[in-house]
Amino acid sequence: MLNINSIDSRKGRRYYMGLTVSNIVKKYGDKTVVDNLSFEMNEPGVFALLGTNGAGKTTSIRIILGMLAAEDGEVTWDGKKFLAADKPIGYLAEERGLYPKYKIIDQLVYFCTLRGMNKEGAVKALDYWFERLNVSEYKTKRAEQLSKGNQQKIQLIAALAPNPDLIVLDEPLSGLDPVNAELFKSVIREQIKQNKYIIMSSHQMATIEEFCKDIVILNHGRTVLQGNLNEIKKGYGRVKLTVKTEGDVRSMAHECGLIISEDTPNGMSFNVQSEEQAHKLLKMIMDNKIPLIKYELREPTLNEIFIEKAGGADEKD
Amino acid sequence: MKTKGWNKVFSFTFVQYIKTKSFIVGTIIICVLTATICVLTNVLPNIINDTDSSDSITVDSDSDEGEFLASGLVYLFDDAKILEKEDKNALQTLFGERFSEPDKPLDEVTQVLKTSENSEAAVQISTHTDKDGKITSYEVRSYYTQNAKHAVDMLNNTVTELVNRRVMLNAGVKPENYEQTQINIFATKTQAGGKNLNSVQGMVNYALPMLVSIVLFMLIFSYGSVVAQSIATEKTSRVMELLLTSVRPLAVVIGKVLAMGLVSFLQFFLIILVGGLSFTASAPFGWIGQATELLKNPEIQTALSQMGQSGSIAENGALAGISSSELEIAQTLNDFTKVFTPTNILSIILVFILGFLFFSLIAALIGASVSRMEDLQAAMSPYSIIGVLGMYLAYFPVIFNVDALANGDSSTNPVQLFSYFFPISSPFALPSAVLVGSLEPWKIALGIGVLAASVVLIAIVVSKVYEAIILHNGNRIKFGDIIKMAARK
Repeated sequence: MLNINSIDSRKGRRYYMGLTVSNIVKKYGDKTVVDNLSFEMNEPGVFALLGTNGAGKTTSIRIILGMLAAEDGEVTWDGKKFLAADKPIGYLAEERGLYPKYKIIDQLVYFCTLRGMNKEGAVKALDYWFERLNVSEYKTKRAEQLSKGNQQKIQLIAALAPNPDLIVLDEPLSGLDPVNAELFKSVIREQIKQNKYIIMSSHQMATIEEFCKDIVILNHGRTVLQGNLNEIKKGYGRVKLTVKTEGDVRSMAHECGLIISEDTPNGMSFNVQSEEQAHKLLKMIMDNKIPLIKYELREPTLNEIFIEKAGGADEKD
Repeated sequence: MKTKGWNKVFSFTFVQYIKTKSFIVGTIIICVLTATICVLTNVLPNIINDTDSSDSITVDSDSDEGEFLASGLVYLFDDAKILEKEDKNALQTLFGERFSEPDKPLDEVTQVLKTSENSEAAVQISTHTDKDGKITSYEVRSYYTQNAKHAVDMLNNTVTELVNRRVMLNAGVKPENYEQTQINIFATKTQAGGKNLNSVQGMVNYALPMLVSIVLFMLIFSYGSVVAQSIATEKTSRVMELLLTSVRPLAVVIGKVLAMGLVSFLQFFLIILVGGLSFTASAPFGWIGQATELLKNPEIQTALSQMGQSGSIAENGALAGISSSELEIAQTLNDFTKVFTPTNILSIILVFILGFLFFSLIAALIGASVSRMEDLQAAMSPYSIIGVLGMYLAYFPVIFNVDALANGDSSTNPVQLFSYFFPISSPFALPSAVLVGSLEPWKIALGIGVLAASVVLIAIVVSKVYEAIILHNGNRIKFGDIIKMAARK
């Protein structure tokens, strides 16, 4: 249930506590790169902004953060126009940026003071984050001396040290080894516990599923799917069947009206029209006493939904 | 507010830049060069004068001439038959047994000289005549060996002086009067209403604008380029995206431009400080010290106060008991110290600041227009053309107008006048016009006004288009496109 706090009678728009993005439009020349994007984050948590390459995610993020002006629409925070420069926000950009020749501590203090912190407060907060992300030894090094993963940690520190309410993470885990990816995930979980509003953009759908409650999928600037991830999945129903047996069950699947969508060493996958098809196949396997290793009837993964929505829309274009 | 946070960008940019090795090393080199030039400018004239005073007919055994005279043979071919025994005796005295008038023809002697490894020469004196056989000129030509090339001028001058002396004596000048005829006569001119400058002041009048225009160009233009490079680095390294979550693009530009302006001004101040200290430290050993000593002399002060009121330089110099050239130097130094009035200093600082803003704002736009550092050099072409053209406009009229400048009437030169009001050249031209006092105050004010208006115009363009281009990635936005974009907005 959405928490409506105010209604602008002139425009008829509803405003909620937290972040509201209303009908933003951005054009470059004749090309519309963001077309009427709207969503609300009325409570803390992680919101996913998804899309194929060039779908308009980065442009949308830049508009939300106030870097770019939109042709139409508006972004509000607690019902008031959102000005990033007035409110500390954390931003981990997809294309990482640090001054290569300057000392890490100098540039991080600079970024923190730009976000309204005083120098002493910044140094104290940075010391915590250096320890938390195991990079204390690098604080007096130049950025160019650090590995890509460590530079990414420094960028995450730049985003989180000012303790912002709103955090935008664009591909936060790309390029990280499993150990550091887990470290980043633990930090994100901490931020969620601290009631932060997080917008996450990623092509790693497993990560999105792990953290996000609500999603928007963009394709060529248009919203092709939007809503609560669990509800979206429920809406699809259990339409994915994976079966792994010691015998060949192709003819049985065919007899049940199932068409193989994927055949891998881990089993065969089918798109099912109704759960009865899946039950019928299971019964036939059991009746024929074929040893069954794996049988899974499930909702589609976000990855499968994404490919269907973004890839399908792509094909139409 | 679009400019909120500019002060943080300013302080970070300033502190980080002055900590860079390139700035520290560059500043040390500039200071050392400035000190060297100032010390040499002060001391060198004295050293040269000392050398000149020994460049007489007496033999200097330590010099190249001495080596030439000590070891080489000197042949005289007086085809004009102008020199008499007395003159040849003088040469004999000078060169000793090595001097001779050979029986062999000149061609044979030059063939010998051609292969000789000694320091030797043959001097031929010939005449040019008109159709009636009347002598119109004499020619003194020396043929010398490779090793004598540095000393042959001295030989030529000696023989030329002997020929000149003999011509005068033959024309009836008495030997005791000959020295009196050897006085330099300088022809000068002053435009009616122009300043009656002495020769030293005239030299300062055209040398100073050249020097000042080059120094200002180096500071303003090069630090403008640093602004472009800094912004392009932030954009291409994606730091800009991080910055723009906290401050608006205009705040970044203002912070950066002002920081680099302060760096540039700091270096400008350092150059002046080091130059002043170098002159002061080397004053006792050079002409500045001598001139300063002269200025302390009350009689010279009296002579200086009478300059322009009554009497010539020579008369006033004689009154003070010094030569007219010494009085000219004292007068120049005395007048130059009066140039640094608060109004003039403020005017120069204002022009410097406005000039820096003008060029660095253009550079900032260009820096923001590139998405890759490799494109920056090509993108900077219009900036380089504008800067170099401005410097040439300020510099070249000086070269072509040396005579006028030496007489203090520079403002009558149309190109030079134009350079004072054209915003791409006025930052390099106006300060020197203030220093040499060649421009009326209202023209200086007008030049500053035009420059200030241009800065405002560029600032408006920057505020209109900067936000649009700073996050543009892909093909470089050309300078013309930026102007069109600003016009549309």
